[in-house]
Amino acid sequence: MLRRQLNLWILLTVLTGLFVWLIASTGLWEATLRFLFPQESQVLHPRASLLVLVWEHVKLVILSSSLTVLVGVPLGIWVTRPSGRNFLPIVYYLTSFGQTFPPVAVLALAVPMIGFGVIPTVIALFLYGLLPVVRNTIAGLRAVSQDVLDAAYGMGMSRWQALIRVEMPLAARVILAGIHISVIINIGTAMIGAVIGAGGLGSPIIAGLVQDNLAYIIEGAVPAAMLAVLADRLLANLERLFAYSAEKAR
Amino acid sequence: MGRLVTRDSVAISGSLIGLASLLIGWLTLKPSRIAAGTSLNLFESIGWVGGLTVLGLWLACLILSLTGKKERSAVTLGILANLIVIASFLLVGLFSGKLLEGEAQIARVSLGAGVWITLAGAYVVIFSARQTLRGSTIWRNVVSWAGLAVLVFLLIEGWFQDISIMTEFSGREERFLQELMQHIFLFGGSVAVGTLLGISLGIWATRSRRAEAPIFFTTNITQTIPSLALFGLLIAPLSALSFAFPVLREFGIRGVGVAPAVIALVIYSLLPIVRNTYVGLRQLDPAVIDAGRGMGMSRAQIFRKIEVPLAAPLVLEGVRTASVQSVGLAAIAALIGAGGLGWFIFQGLGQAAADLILLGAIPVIVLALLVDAIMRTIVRVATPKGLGKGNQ
Repeated sequence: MLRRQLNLWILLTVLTGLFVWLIASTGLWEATLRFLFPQESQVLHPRASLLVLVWEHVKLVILSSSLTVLVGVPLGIWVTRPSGRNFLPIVYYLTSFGQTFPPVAVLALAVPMIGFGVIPTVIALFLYGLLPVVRNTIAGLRAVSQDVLDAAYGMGMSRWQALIRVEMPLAARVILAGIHISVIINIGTAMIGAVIGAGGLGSPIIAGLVQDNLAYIIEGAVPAAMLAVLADRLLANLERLFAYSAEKAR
Repeated sequence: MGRLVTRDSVAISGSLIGLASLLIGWLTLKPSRIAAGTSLNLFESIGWVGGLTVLGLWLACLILSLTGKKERSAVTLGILANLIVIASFLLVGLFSGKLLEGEAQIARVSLGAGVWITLAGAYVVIFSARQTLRGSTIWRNVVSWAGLAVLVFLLIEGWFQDISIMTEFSGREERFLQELMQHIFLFGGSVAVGTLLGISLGIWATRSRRAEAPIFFTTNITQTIPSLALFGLLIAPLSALSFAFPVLREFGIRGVGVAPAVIALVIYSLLPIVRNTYVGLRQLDPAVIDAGRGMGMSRAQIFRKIEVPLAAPLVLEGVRTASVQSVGLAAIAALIGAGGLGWFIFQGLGQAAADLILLGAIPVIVLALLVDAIMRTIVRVATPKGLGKGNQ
C-alpha cells in the first residue's frame, strides 16, 4: 500500500506540473481558442495572462483557507475542552445553521458591509470556510474514545500532551476532510469574487458573458475546472496519509 | 466530567454582544440610494427613551444571566431577549420614518451593524435559554419563535416601509415576485429531475458492480467543478447546438439562459442523491430482506414494501442537501441570464447599490432556510417509527 501511495503522489505531481505548463503556454491556448471560435476577434482576456489569473485565484483560496484553519481548528479544540464546553452546543448548531446559507449570498452580503475588492472576498470565503472545518474538528475530537484518552492519562500524559500526541493525530483525518470541503467550496466561491473585483479565474468568464465572447468563457472555465479537480485529488490523498484505522489497507 | 457548570457563560456572552452593539451605529442616513451615508449612534437613531429602553433590557439580561441558571430564570431570560428583538425593530421602524422627515425625497435610512449585532446577541441568549428549557415544550417554542413571529407580522404590516431595503422593494413588487417564481422554478425543477435521475443511478449502482465505480467517479468529479466554470463549459456546446439546429431555439435552448442553468443544477444535485440512495439500499440488514422472502414476498414486493420505506429517509436527506445547495447555485445562474433572485444581487453589485444587493441576498438566504426546514420535516415524517431518528 505504501507503494500505491507513492505512485499516487508521483502521478499528482506530474499532473500538477502538466497543469502549470498548460496554463503557462499562452500560444497553445490562443491557437486552440482561435480554431474553436473563429468568429471572435480576440480570444484571450486582455487584462492578465492565464498564469496571473490562476495565481490570483490560488492566492485568494490559500489566504482565506489558511485563516480558516488558523481560527477554525483552535475554535473546535476549545469547545471540546472543559473551559469551552458550554459553547459546544451553540457553536455546533451555528456550523450547521450557517451551512444552509448559500455561499454566494454570504459573498454578496460582504459588499454592503466592507466594500468591493480582495478583502471582502477573503473575509467571506474565510467565514464560510470556517463551518466545515469547525464542524469536523469537533466531530473528529469527539470520536476519540474515552478508553484511549484514559490510557494516555494513565501513562502520565498531561491534558496538553494527550491533545497533541493522541487526540489530534487520531482526529487528523476527519479534520483534514473538513479542510478539504472548505477549500473546494472556496475555489468555487472565489470564482464569483470576480464580480466584486477580486480578480481570479472568474474574471475572464464574467468578461466573456458581458461582451458575449465565448472564447473568454472557455479560457476561464477550463483551467478553473482543472484547478478544482487537482486540488480535490491532492487533498484526498493527504487525508489518506492519516488513516490510522483498519481502513488503512485501502 | 469537568468541573460543575455554575454560570451560564453562553447567555453572558450573548448579553455582552448585545451591550457592545449599542456602541456602534444603529441607523445610517444616506442622501441618496448609492451615496455613502452618515452612521447614527443609538440615541441619535432611536431617541433617548428608545435607547435607554434597549440599554435597560440588555442590562437586565446580563444581570439575570450572571445570577444563575435555573429553569425559571431561563424563561425570563428568553422572554427578555425576545422583547429586545421586538423593541429594537419596533423602534427602528418608527424612527426611520421620523429621520426621513424634512430630508429630500431620495434620502434613505438603512439598518446599521448595531441592529444586526443586537439581533445576533439576542438569539445567542435565546439559544442558551432553549438549552436550559429542555423539559417544557411550550416555553421552548414561545421563547424560540415569539420574536420572529412578531417581526414577520411587522414586515407584512409595512412597519419597515421607510427602511431602505423596503423602499427598494416597493415599485419592484412585480419584478420581485417574477424573479422569486423563476428562482423556485429553477431549483425546484432541477432538483425534481435530479431526484428521478439520481435515484435511478443510485439503484443501478447497487445492482451492478460494473456501473458502481464510473457513476461515483463522474458524480464526484462534477461536484468538484466550480459552478461558474460548469455554467461556462455548458454555454459553448449549447450555443453551437442552437446554431446548428435553429429549431432548438424555439424551445429556449440557447447558449446562455435557462438551459445551461438547469443542466448544471441537475448535475450538481446528482451526487448527494445518488450517494444516499446507494447507502440507503446497501445499509439494509440482510436479515430483514430474508424475513420478507420467508414471508413469501416476491422480489418486487420486497423492493416496494421493505427496501423503499427503509431507504426513504436517507434518500430524502440527500434530496434535502441537493435542494439547499441548488437554492444557492440558482442565484449564481443569474450571471448567465437565467434570472432568479440572483438577478437583484448582480444588478445591485453592478450599480454598487447596497439595498438592491440585500433585496436579492436576504430572500435567497430565507428561501434556503425555509427549504431546509420543509425538507427536514418531510424526512422526519417519512422515517418509519421503528427506525428511530434515522439520520443525524
